[in-house]
Order: sequence, then structure tokens, then C-alpha cells
Amino acid sequence: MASAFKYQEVALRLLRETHKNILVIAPTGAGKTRVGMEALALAGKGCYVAPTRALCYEKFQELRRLFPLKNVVLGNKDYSLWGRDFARSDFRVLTPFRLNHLLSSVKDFPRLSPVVVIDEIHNLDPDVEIILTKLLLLHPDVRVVGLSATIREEDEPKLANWLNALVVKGEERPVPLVERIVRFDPDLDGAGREITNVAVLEGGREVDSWAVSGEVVFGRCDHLREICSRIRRGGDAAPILIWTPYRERADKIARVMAEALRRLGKGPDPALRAVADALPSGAHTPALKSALPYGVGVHHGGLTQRERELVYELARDGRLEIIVTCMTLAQGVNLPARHVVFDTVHEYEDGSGRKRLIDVSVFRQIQGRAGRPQFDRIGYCWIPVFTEVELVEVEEVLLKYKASPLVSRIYNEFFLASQVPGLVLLGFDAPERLAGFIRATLWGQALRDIQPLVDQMARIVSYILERGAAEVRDGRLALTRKGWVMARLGLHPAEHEAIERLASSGCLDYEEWVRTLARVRIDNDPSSGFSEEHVDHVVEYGLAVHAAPKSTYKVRELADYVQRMLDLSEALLAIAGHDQAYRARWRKAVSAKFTYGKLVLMEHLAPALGRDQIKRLVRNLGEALTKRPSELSHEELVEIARLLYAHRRSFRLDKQSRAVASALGVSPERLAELVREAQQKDISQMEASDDDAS
Amino acid sequence: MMRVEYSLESKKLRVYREDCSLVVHSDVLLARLSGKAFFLQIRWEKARERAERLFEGKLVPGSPAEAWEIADTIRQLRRVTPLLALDLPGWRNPRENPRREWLEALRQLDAELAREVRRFIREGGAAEYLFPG
Repeated sequence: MASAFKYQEVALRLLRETHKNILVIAPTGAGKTRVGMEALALAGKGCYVAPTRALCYEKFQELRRLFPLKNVVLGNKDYSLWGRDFARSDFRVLTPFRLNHLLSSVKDFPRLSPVVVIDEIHNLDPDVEIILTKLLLLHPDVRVVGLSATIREEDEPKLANWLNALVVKGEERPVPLVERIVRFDPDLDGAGREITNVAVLEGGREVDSWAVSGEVVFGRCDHLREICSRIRRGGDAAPILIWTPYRERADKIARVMAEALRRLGKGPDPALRAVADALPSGAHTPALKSALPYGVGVHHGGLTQRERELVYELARDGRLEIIVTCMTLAQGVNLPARHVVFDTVHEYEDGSGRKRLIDVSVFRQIQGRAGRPQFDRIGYCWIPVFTEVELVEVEEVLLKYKASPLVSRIYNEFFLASQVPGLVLLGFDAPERLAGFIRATLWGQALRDIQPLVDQMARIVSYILERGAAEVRDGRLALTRKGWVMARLGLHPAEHEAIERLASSGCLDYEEWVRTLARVRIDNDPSSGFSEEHVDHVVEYGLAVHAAPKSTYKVRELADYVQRMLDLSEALLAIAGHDQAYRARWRKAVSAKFTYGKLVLMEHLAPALGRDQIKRLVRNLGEALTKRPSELSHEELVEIARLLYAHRRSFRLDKQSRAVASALGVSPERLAELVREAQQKDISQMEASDDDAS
Repeated sequence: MMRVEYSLESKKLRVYREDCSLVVHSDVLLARLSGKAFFLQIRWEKARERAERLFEGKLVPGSPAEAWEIADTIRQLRRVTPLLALDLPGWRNPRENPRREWLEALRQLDAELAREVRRFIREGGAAEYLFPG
């Protein structure tokens, strides 16, 4: 690997010359991923852990491109990865949840994965903290390489101590950044006509100002049109990235900006129009379809995987003038542009209906995308403010702090109670030992007095004993059969009991199952923030909320929780020895119904598919899911083939794929052609990325 | 000469114009800013309540959400043109549709509240932004 930055050289030397854990902190776009991949290359085998499935897929493709001779596999919500496949593979790209499962189920983990790279390690949610603690305690020989762009200086020693890691820091941004605050102030001109004074502030100094006739209304996206016009007025034709916190708003912005370009006399680009026309229609696709011909793209989690990749490719090739994005950008998706424009720096607080300033780390992560190393000398970040109060918040918080503090969130009692049986199974079988484990977490390391922790563990242990999940034998905790099941499945006692109660009564009522499982969480974990309204939405759409319009982040989170509970219910029904006929009826009436709800295509396809394949289609296919097989376009068929088979190295026409072909109404040979076409598309993409990288 | 009657209780504003015509406005909010009294008509109840809280000094920057509420209320109030402005004290010199004065008064209020937000952030409030929840 050619090192563009000094810190990369230092990191590589440490990787070669020591066996210590390493924490790499460098700005966005400064090549941290390359360090992680080099760590894998040096070890020959290992895991790359990324926080979201979108990011996992991006890294999976990158690894396959960089190491064509290695067996790279993917394990996330869409792709299962079991112990056998794990053992056979070289590099695995995983979500933390998959890593957790593999940590306890794979024998000889350190030999099979001598290195684990944790990308975006500052995204320390409770699961990740527990999983990392398990990794550190159970497999001290496994080298951990943590990567992050946004860690406060005062948090660096805390994280490094916890990971027992050497810190390698790169301060230098690949492209210098200029932060510009744009202030909009309504006024009247000399003749009493409505105007808006616009001022651009840089480092507290006004560097530009002008007046716009009429009001600048946030709802109409006037401020964004004004900022983009200002950028273009100076003859700067470089791509502009607009960030907004919500998907619906992103769609609206894309439409408004495309319309603004049309009014300025820009005609639709025939090539982009052809690309837009070929798009299958999904919940969010109409905005993309109408905006794309004018060089405006949208990139967010509501689009299908294929649509996101398409926008990513077009942006990378410089064919888009404006790209509107949401949280995907804050989660590490690599979409740089010379200008990053914030639509707003406020987002809704959970549950209160009020807004608050966005998280500093999120702001920094998004801002970090300003400036493309190969094209720009300077990157610009534009922040609109409408009042002096907002200006103060931006200056005193967003521009002043480098990142949000690293905070542990594992003290949630619901969460800890669901972890305890699993920890007992791993040998932490007394309140003191459990406290010892928690002491080894980032949270525990910060505690001066361990006694409150021991007390809390004792309280949780009493609860577990009370619920019959464990008993005391020779002064040690021993799991009962119930506790063992909870430990294997990672269930909270209340979750276990709810599933058992429903199953014992022979319940096959879909709605009762979904409502009961959702309510277990609402009743036992008030901090989850789920409401009855969320439950209604999830009951109606099931996992298809991922393809449904107006699904909020909370709704999708709840649907994913219920889906996980149903998966665990199925495992529990099998382990607990429930009647096979009931299980088969339950699978059809409850589990399958939840997975694809009212989606017409899935009614045809689901009988031929495995659970993972169904989930993958539901989460990624978009509106094609509502069509009959005979109504599918060629593009949609290729997309289905891609989602089902393109990630495999080879495709065989076996019994299952023949059944899929029959359900789609195509011949098996035609299905094989579709898969080849999908794989070819993937290869072309990788080659394009190669050209780009070179 | 224009004559003005306003009832704090019923929130009714009566304006007797020079041509002796009478105009009556209901649900009128009184805002005392920059040595002037502004009479506002805000139809949306939620916005009216929030504006009232702001003028009564009950909307103070004690959290990030309250700072946003202040900024958002000011932003909404800018879109309103008061029915009438009077000079204080004494309720003298009534002017109809005083948009320019209103924007200036809001600018001053915004600046004043911005100073309070800055003080709040510097005197420990930054932690509320950095440690959400």
C-alpha cells in the first residue's frame, strides 16, 4: 500500500513490528479504511466490523476488489454467516451483532480471525461495547484495530486504555476546510418591499453579502437555492452535496433543486434521463426519477441498494451537479464533494416533538465530506442560520467541539438483564464476576467505586433467579434450562416469558404476536422511545416498513426488533420442543406474514426462498415488491437475481434456484443469464472503482 | 385622530380610525418590545401560545430544545406583520402595519436572547448539547 499520509506509515510499521492493538484516529477521507484493510492483509485472515449493513456492503465490495484471490464473505441483517462458512473464509465483513454470535459459536476464533478491525469505533452502542469487551477478555490474542474520525482528544486515552491499544493519529485533512455560515435576515428595502439580507461569515468575519427580493422560506428550500446560486455565481461548477436529517425532506429538496435548474434553462441530460427511466419505482424513487435527468441525485437509506449504488457511481463519475443525502453520509458512506451544504443543523428530539442541535460527531462526519482529494484544493462547508440564536449555537457548539464525548450507554437495566445469562454461560457466574466483566467495559473503567456496580449486578441476578432462569449451586450461578435458552438466544426474561406464553396457548394470531412482542419492549424498556403509534404501523406493514412510505427511523427500528424476536421465537419453539405441526402453522401465519406482509411478489416467491433471502428482498427491492412476477421489468428481474445470487462466487442451477425461476415465470436458463448479467454489473462497478482509485 | 382600545382580558383590539370607522380584531396578542407595543394576530394556537411565553419571558434557554424553540418562535414571528404599533409609555402615536419597526424590534430581541444562549452554553450548558439524554 502506498502511504499518502505520515500516520499511515506509522500505523503500518506498528502493524508489522508489533502485535499490539491499534487505535487509528484520522479525519474523514484520510485513508483509515486502507490501514484496516492492510491489517487484514498482513494477518491473512480476519474480520472487518462496520456499524450498518450499507457500510458493510460497501466494505465487502472494496475488499473483494482489493483482494480478488481471497475468500471474502458478508454477514449482516441481509446475509447470514454461520460457523462453517466463517471457518472457510479469509475476510469477513460483519455487523457487530453477527460478530457477537460468532464470538460465542466459533471454536478457535483467534486462529481463524487473528485480527478484528472495528470501523467507526466511536459508534459505541451498548451491544458493541459488550461485544468488544467479550472480544478483549475472551480472546486477548486477537489484535483489535479501531478506526475513527471523531474522537475528542480527552477521550483518546480512555478508549486507548480500554482497548489496550497504541494510538496513531493523523491530524491533517486531505483537503483544507473552510466553514461558512450563511445568515438570512428579513428586512424591507427603501420602498418598503420585502427583501432578505444574506451575509456570509467566515471565522466570525463577514466576507460577502447581498440582498434577495422577497422572503427566504425554509419550507420552500429557498435558502438552499440561494446558497447554491451563490456558489455557482463565482463560476464554481463543482458538485454540491446537500445534507438533511430526513428522507422525505431529501426527496423534496431534490425535486426543488431540479426544478430550479430547469427554470435556469438547464435541459434534461438524455443519458441521465435514460438511467432514470430504467429505475424501478420504489417508495422514494419518484423523487430520484424526476430529479436525476437534471443532474440531481438522492442518496439515503429509503432507496434500494441498487439505487444507492447507482447514485454513488454517478456522483463518483462527476455526472451529478447536486447530491442530496441523509444519515447514510454520517454513517461513513464515502460521497465526497467540494461543497457540503447543510439544509438545517437541527433535528427532532426523540418523543418530545421539539428539535435540538444535531450531534457534534454527526456534524463533523458530514462536514468531513467537503473536498475531494484528487480534485479540490479547498473544501467548503455551508451552514445556514436564520436567527442570532442559531448562529450562537453553531459557533459555540458545532464549530467549537471536535466530537461528542464518548459515552457508554450500557447501564440500561433491560439491556443488562438480557446480557447476564449469556455472561453466566461464558463463566461469569457470580455477582462479583459479573461485576468484574462490567468493570472491564468502557463504562466500568470509568467507575471509581465498584460497589454500586456489584449492587446493580446483585439486583439483576436476583431478578434472574426470581424468574427461574438460574439457581445457585455451590455458591455459583448455574443456568436452568430456561436460562440456558435465554443465554443462547440473548433474550430478556420478559421476552422469553412472552414467547412461551403465546406458544403454550397455541396462538396463531399474527396481530397478537406482533403487539405482544412490541409491548414487551415498551413496558420493560421505557428508554426505547417506542409508542403505540409505532406498533400500529409495524402491525400493518411488518418488515415491509422498509419499503413503505412515511416509515420513520423509530418504526423501522421497532420492525427490526420484532423481526429479531420472531427469529428467536422460531428458535425457541424448536428448542423447547413445541409440536411440529404448530410450528409449521405458526411459521406461515405469523413469521412469514410479518416478513413480507401484503407484498404481492413475495407471495409468489417466498415459498421458494430461504428466510434471509426473503428479508433481503423486502429490505432492498422497493416497489417491485408490490408487482406480480409477470409485471416485472428486465431491470427488476436483474435486481432480484443480484440480491439473491450475485454475492456468490459461483451460481448453480439447483432445486432452489429452479423453484425461484418458476416463481418468477422465467426458465432456469433465463435466471442463470440474469444472474450473470447482475454479476457482470458488479464487476463493471468494481472496475470503475479501480479506475477511480488509480 | 386614531383611537385605540385594547382589553388584556378579552384580547380584543378596537381601532377607531380618523374617518370614524371602527375595526375590531379578536385574539390579539400584545408584545412590548423596544419601547413599543405591538398588536399581533396569530391564528395558529400553538404558535400563539409559544409567542406569549416568549414575550412573558417564560421561554428561556435552559436546554438545547428551548434554545431551538426560541429561535423557531422568532423565525415564525418574523413572518407576522403586527396590526398596530404604539409608543410606550403612554400608548402614543399609533401606526398600522408597522413591519419595519417590528423586524427591528425582533432583531433586538433575537440579539438579547442570543446573548443569553451564549451565556447558557458557556456556563455549563455545552454539556447538554454534548451529552444528549
